[in-house]
Amino acid sequence: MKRIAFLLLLIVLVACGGGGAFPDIRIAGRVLDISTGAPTTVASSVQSSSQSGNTNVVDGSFLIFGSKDETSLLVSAPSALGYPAFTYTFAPLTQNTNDVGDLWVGPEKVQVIGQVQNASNNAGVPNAVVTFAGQRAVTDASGNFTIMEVAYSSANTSSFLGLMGRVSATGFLSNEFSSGGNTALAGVVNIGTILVSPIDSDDPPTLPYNIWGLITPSASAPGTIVKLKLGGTEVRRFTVGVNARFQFWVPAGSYTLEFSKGALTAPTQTVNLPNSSDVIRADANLS
Amino acid sequence: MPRNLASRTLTTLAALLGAASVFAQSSLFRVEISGRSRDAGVQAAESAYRLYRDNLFNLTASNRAKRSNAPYIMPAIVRLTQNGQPLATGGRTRGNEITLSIDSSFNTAGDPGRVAFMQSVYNTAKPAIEAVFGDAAITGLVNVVNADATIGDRHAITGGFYLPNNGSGAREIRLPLNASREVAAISLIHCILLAYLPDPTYGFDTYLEGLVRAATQKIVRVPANLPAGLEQDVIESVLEQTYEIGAFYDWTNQKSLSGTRFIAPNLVSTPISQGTRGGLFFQRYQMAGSVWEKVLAEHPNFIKNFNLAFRTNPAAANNASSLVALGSTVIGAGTVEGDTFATWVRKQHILDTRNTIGTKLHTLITPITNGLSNPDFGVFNIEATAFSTDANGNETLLSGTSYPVFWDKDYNRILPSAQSERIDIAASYGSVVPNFADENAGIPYRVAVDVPFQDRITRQYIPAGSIATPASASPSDFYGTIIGLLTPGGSTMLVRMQAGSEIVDAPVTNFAFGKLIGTANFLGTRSLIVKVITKNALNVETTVLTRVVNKGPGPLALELGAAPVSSTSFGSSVPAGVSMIGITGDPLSTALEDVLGIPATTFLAARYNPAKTNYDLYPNSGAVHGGQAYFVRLPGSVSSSWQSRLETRTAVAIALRPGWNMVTCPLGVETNFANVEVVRTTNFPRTYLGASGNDAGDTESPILGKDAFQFVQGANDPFSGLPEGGSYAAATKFTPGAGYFIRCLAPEGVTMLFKLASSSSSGLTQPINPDFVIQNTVARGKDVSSAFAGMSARARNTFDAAYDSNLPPSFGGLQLSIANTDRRYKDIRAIADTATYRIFATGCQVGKVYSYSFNVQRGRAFQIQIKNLANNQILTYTGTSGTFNFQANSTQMGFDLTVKGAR
Repeated sequence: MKRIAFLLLLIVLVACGGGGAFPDIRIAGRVLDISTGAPTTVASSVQSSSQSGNTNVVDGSFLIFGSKDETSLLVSAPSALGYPAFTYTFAPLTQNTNDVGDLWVGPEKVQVIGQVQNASNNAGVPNAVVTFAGQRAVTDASGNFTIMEVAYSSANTSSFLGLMGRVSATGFLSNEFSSGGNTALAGVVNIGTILVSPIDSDDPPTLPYNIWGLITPSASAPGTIVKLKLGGTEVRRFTVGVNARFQFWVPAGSYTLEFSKGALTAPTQTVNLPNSSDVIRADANLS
Repeated sequence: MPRNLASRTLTTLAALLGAASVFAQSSLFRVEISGRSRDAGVQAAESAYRLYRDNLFNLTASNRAKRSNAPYIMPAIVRLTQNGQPLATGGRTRGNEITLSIDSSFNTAGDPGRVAFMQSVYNTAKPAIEAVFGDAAITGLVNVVNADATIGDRHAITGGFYLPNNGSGAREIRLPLNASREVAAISLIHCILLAYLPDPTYGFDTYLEGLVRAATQKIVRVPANLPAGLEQDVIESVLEQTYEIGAFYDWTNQKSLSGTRFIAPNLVSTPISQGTRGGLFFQRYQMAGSVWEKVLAEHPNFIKNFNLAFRTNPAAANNASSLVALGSTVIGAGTVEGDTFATWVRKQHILDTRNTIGTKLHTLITPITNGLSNPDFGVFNIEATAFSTDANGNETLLSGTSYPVFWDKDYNRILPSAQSERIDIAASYGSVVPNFADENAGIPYRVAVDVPFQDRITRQYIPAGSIATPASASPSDFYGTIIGLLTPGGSTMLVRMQAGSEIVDAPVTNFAFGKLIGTANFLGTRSLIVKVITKNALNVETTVLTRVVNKGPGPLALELGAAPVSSTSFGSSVPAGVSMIGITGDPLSTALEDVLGIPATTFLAARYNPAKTNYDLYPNSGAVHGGQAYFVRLPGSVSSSWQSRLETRTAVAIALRPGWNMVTCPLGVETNFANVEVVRTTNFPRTYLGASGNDAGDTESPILGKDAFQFVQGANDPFSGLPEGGSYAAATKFTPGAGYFIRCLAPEGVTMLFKLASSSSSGLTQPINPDFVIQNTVARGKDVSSAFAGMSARARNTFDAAYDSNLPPSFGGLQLSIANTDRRYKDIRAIADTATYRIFATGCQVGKVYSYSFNVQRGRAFQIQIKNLANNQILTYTGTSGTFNFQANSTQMGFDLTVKGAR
């Protein structure tokens, strides 16, 4: 008899699945305060299309029900904090249980902007998914992205500066990034360029270097001889390739650079390298 | 008041007072004042201290929430300066000791005898202070001022501060009015010890804070050193908070503790909000107290004599080597835990005063012993702290995800629960509480815990079932693990603890042990002798490890045999010029110059950072850890050796990030690919060969690149006279001291476990062999580079990680590669009647003659043609090998290799 009752219940549940009165997925995550890096001391509320729940004040975690293919959550910090509500958007949540990770709230909302580039050729990567502080954006045709509604605290940026975002793009290795020490200017945090390496087309960077430069015009650059001298003695020589770039990895010191390609030359440059861990750029124009 | 407004108010107050605070050390502030007036000086000092105390209140919020309500005593020194110069210590009067003048306002209606009590504290403790800490370096009058109105007792953070010169030439100790007499007594003694220090004092927190905390706890723990009527339990609970690490010194002694200061400047000098975690500062304070407590256990007069030696060598204040030399002089021919003082210092990472740049990871493990119920067996709180340090010592509190890996004694992965397989780290902090199940009828066992974060990893060993279970009436007070020591067949193992005449044996099962000893003798501050002993069937004992352990009061957790410190080398000398080295074992030092044995100014070093897709140049590449590889450029060959925790008898793991990783075998023994396992997130381990697409029996997608690459040094550069480049070649095994490039394809990164050959349970089952493979090699003298072309019925023309192999980041030397959609070291395509591969030799020297040779390694071909793209010359071969020479007219030479009729 118990078995029959169970089967009947199962049939009812299956019939109601996929919407209607019975929410069919679970959404888990944490809500954290960007001002402190910790859960809000009073519970925050998290609302899906079908249910609202509160966070656990000990660890900030929440578990609520939502509809299949849910794409957003509304997160509100306790009213005493005076924070704005944050809307978090996702790719449709399809699993029975979906962990959306850490969702950050704070006294301010900023935009985080930047560009995702192919590490092989510095071309913008379109359609890359960039996630940061629980928010996400997709890059445009030029690889640029704008992440909206990122939690921020001008009074305390220590948690924000330590946030790690992630870039995922088809055909590329995933990569992590941080704000790189950049903070908000007029409500915008520009984190610059994020490089991603193609999975099947890794164009590796060259050797370690601390003196480098580009030769212009680029059409004339290949074959340019770059001599690096220390105290008048040539210590290295580099033959520029099609990428018009030269580079050296040398100890700290005061060097001179000489450039020549047949009759073409560029002015000699003095390069001071105070520490071997510094990186100095010295471009040259052939004429 | 809203929290942000409160923070801003502090800033404003400091600005109004016109005081600029410079935090020379975490608890020694320099405050610039413009005029010599007591009011201005004291106001500026109090402002700085309030900011410090309030920030500590916030920084410790999360820690306090998890621990007892006893306050954190965090006194400080505030040094007033004028025009950048510290005001001379004031209040010197005749006599040979410090005299206290205590404000009568400490007497209150609730405690009308407080002034007398405070004077009694000093009078009673003074003999002990002088015995433990020495006499006052600067004698004279010290005013003890009631500053409760301005730096009141906040209950959580208290302690007051010492002001060597209050702006008008007097010395002051400014204290809040603590409700608890116990707290007041500890704070006063702590501040008196600060006033006993010479001027200038120790320049490193681990000395300034550590010596004072160790001395304070030693003094106040003896009831006779304090006025009667104080509750020792309260004193103990206060000391537990910030004065010592308790049982867990072995587990907490990690490289990330190192640094000049305990609290980064950016975390103490700007107002921060409640709840923010301050990186590792808390463990640093505790470890600094405990580390000197260890010395006191064997050398009760050490701090006194060390302070005395320091007073005659003030130049040592900011020189770590000089301070260690002073300590060595004080210890003389004696030892600390069986080592000379200098050797012992190198093993204590809290005593490493070097600031290192980069990502740091620390794990703190605490066994849960209360409130257990079935099926609890081994419950531990694992707290991870991740942060990065910049060149100025500022710390960024990192967020991210760690996937901890738990291994049983045989290095089979344990998956305790879904909740414990992922640590979400936010603002530097994350934790999990795994419960390791009772696997064998209540018999304890060892668990190895690897916590990876980015490319950092920590390894700790914990004893499941040895400390507390629902069935045990009282938790063990002596417990730990055995690492790398085996029990011969038919034998048993035990750990023997000897504390004076008291000897206790604890049986070892599955490399774990735990025992409730409970004697006052053991639970006091002691120097113990701990032995690991095997006992055969005839009860004949063999001691396989002896260790001297100095402990503070209370229980003791030990890792016995874990990576014994030994002299480590690269195996052979590292040649002059550019080469790749691997750091085998985990060096005690965080500095590469200590590993190479030459000054940092004489070599170059770099480590690839896959997140940047570029190199980090040393020292910006961060602290040196075992398992890392570096490119180095040396002015001459180096045969160095260094002190390292070198493991040769148990498995060791490293962490890889997505992209190219410069790594090495962390084990001190050569390791075959078959003995390496790879773990991605919460998955079961795969063999290295399977994970890298080299085992047809592993049908999952590869998560590592097909090849691990080694660097092969090239010929001498004509101008520098040293090899400045080279080429890459695929490795066939992992050799200690050698560096490797391994490409990680998993977006979350992976953990690689290097196992001993004897513990390997898996190997290559179905090697992937293409139908046709031809090796191409270009050479000139020492410059040699190869690339492999081939075909297979199961391969694709697009990149297939199971067959194809990318090049690691090129280094500028001679390098052969096959151009497809990318530059490949191996390019295996679908079988075809005719296939043409474009092969580039880069890094050629113009005008030089090179040889090009090919060799068919697998299969056969009807015809092989090689076309030199520089002159369109075509050479045709029908055999399985051939050689020709070419002259480079460019740094990059191109060839088309055409294979016809391969099968």
